[in-house]
Amino acid sequence: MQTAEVATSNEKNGPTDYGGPEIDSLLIKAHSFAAFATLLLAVVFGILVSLQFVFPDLIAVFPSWGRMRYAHTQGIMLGWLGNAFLAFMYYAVPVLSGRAIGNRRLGLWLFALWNFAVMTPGWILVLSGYSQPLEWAEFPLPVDVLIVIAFVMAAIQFLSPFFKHGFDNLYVSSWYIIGALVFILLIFPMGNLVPEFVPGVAGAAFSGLWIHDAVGLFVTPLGLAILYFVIPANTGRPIFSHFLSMLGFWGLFFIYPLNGIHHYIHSAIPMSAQLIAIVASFILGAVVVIVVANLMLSQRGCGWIPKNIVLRFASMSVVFYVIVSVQGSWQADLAASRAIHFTDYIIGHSHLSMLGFATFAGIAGIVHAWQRMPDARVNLRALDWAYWLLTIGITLMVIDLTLAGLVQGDSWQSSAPWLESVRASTPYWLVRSLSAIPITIGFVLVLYGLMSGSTETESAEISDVRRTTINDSTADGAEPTSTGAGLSAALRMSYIVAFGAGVGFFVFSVSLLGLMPLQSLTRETAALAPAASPGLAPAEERGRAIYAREGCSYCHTQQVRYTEADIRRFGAPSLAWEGRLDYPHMLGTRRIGPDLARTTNTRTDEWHLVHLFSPRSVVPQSIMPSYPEMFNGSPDSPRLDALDLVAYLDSLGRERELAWPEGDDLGLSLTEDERALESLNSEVLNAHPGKTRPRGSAPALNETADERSGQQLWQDNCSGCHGIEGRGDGPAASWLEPPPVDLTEHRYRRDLLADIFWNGVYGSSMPAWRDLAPAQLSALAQVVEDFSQVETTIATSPQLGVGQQVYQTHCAECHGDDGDGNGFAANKLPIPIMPTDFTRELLSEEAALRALRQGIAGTSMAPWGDRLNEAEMIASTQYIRSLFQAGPQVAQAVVTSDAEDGSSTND
Amino acid sequence: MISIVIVTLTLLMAVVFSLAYALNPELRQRVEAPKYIFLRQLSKYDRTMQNQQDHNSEQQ
Repeated sequence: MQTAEVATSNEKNGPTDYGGPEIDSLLIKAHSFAAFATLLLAVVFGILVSLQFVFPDLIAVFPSWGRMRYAHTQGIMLGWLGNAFLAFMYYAVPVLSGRAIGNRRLGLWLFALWNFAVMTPGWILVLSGYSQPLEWAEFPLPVDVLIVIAFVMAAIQFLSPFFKHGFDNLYVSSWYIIGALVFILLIFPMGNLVPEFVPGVAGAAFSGLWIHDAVGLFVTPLGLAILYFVIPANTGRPIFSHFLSMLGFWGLFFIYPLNGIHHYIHSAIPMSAQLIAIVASFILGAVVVIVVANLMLSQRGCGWIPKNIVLRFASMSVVFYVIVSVQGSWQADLAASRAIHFTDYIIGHSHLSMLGFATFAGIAGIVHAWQRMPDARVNLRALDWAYWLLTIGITLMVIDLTLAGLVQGDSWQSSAPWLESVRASTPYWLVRSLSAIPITIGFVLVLYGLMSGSTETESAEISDVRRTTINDSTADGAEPTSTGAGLSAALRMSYIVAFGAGVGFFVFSVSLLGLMPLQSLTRETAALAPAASPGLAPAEERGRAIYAREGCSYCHTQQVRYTEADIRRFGAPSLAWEGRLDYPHMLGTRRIGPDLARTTNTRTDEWHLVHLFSPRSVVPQSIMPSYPEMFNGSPDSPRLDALDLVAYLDSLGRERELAWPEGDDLGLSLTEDERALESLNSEVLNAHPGKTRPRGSAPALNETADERSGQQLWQDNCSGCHGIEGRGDGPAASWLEPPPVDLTEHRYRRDLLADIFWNGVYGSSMPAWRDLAPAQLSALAQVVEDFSQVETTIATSPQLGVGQQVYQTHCAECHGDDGDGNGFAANKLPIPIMPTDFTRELLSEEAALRALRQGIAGTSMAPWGDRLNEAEMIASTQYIRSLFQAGPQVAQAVVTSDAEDGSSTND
Repeated sequence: MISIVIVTLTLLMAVVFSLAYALNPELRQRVEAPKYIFLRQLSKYDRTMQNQQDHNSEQQ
């Protein structure tokens, strides 16, 4: 029985007895089909992206990995969920408001705009390289403008029925729809536009707000609107508590906006702002428990796997929602963030959110609406199969990615080389790709389920619900009785106040987590940034655009976090001023490859070019996509794009390195900010294990080593350049200058090998290997020594005197009087590769002669063939070989040969 | 500091609303009313659609 007041209220606001025509089945069907079409395309992009992890060269024929990743995420959020929510709203809003949707023509325009002016061009543009490098905001700005227009049209279309109805007795789903439509108009421009004008980490604070608000204030409210709608509609009973649902609604809208910065925990964003986000995340967890408890209690009696297909999808959506929300709260914790941030754990979390919670809710909403469309066909069997395949597929994917994330996090906390985490993740990535099979089939079956079958069975199902509805609403008997006019007015006022407070709270959150950090970071930047900044050269600017368009920030962050592991692995944490010219920021939220904030002066340009052209030729275990389109067939022949990108990479971290260490020392007296001080006090600015340094200290290598481990290490790390057998003929060898050493022609003393492994060969593409443990380096040293075919027997002959004379005349100024590679000109060479230290490196006679005759490309060693005669060169090689001072590992034999009697003695 | 304010305000609001809900039966009924109204709206829509379909079937 309805109360007199409610009845009066309904009469006042117009009739609620709408008919079929007021629910526009054409628009529902159009958006539903568009939803599934975009979903399947987005899934295809996702599959191609995931396959890259397992078969890095498989998809070289498609647009680059990053571009497809852009297309995947935008396709899921805007294409699939956007269309699904629109389809559902065309059905639900008339029911909820009792009023017809605003305007059919507007609806057709909105459909066309969303799918043919937003999704289609958006995809084409990002795949063609026109994008915005901001997470969940990847479509370029012109498309963003169209999206805002579409949201305005949606607001007009779906809010007007509620305004006509009035705000009395609005059901919770109505509130969620209203909230989502209002807030998306506030948050979308903020997230997509502000980072274009606010640089670096301050811009990232706004991005964080958007990333979270896109899920929390757009996807979640509409997902919950569906759940609150379809659960009572299919159980035939009202929800457990409307009070709890409203408590949840206001709680979510108040607290969600305060979460954003938890995507940048341990960054240079002020700790006070980070703590607010952390606290808000935990409160949000509590609010979600209220929401979920209410939804679960509303399904009481339906069982864990309800028979009704809509309920089944809704029920699983609720389960996914509670898991993803608890994950979200936990991930914001400082310790948790240290352990799993940037890993696949987060990717699992976002898939659980978008493909689990929101997608299951979306399917429940569409199927529910579809079942009630005139002459619509629904194939329950297909939907049943789809449910199981999707549940299994998504569960498998999320568990798999969660485990992968834990493995990666564990690896990153250790001192293991970066590639260990890649190698350890490969089986998980394979399972992730395989999990796409049931998911894709599931989605196809949902679509098939909406296009086949008869209407008879489904009508029976709806009739069952209807009977239950009528019976239960009578049985419950908890109808509202008359409430006083004063209370009614107070409630009405409270809604308005609460709504104003909701919007106010959004403004509050932007001030607290966006504007205040901006102010504080601007102050810090002004205090610490170098007064004169070279900024980026035009080539570097172009390279930055390429970095952005190819989605490099999806795998490489540009922020060294304030965590022990980051500092040990990458060096001093990033200061706010380091990104002050980054419009928009490219801090990134995922690491598949290592952080790039300190790339400058770490690798040679040549290495970068080869790495871009053919990553696995220099890093055999790498899964990085190759970019052959940036070259004319070879790394020797780069196009402008490749050169620009390398120029940009070389610029990363340059400003701080140029000022190091004086700049940081000065900074210590200019700031009191604890985090800035922590960074300024770092012992090492660039801790990249591959960064080459001039010769210096190195750990002692063990005498004995594990042979098998050494060979594996060789294959994984060295074979790309030096070849499997150490002949200097690896896949990358022909592109590098100086060419990788043919180790069969060289013998090194252990201490020199340790030095090379630890410091690399400064000025060449031979990196340091500081991320390998001494035991591993010892194993590698053993492999290198085993490659050598150089006889340690050194002949002494009368020609040595001639050789010594030639050496002192022509070679000593670089290689040193004693042959230790430290001549007076050694540090002044045009190519900064140190001359060979003949006391610790023994060349075969052939190699030494070849170097003399031809010089060594890519070094300062010039050819001497036209200046010395053959006898002088032979004598020189014999002399430099005689300089070798074997260590304890090399049993050196000196054979004194007597040219006249042929006798010899071993010393 | 701000974090403490946020936590306190959130808890305070939740407590105030919960107390008001628990202690005022009139408010309780008013707050819960939409869930019944919604179900009736839905039921009415389903019946309308069913009648329309039945009518179409009879005509065919």
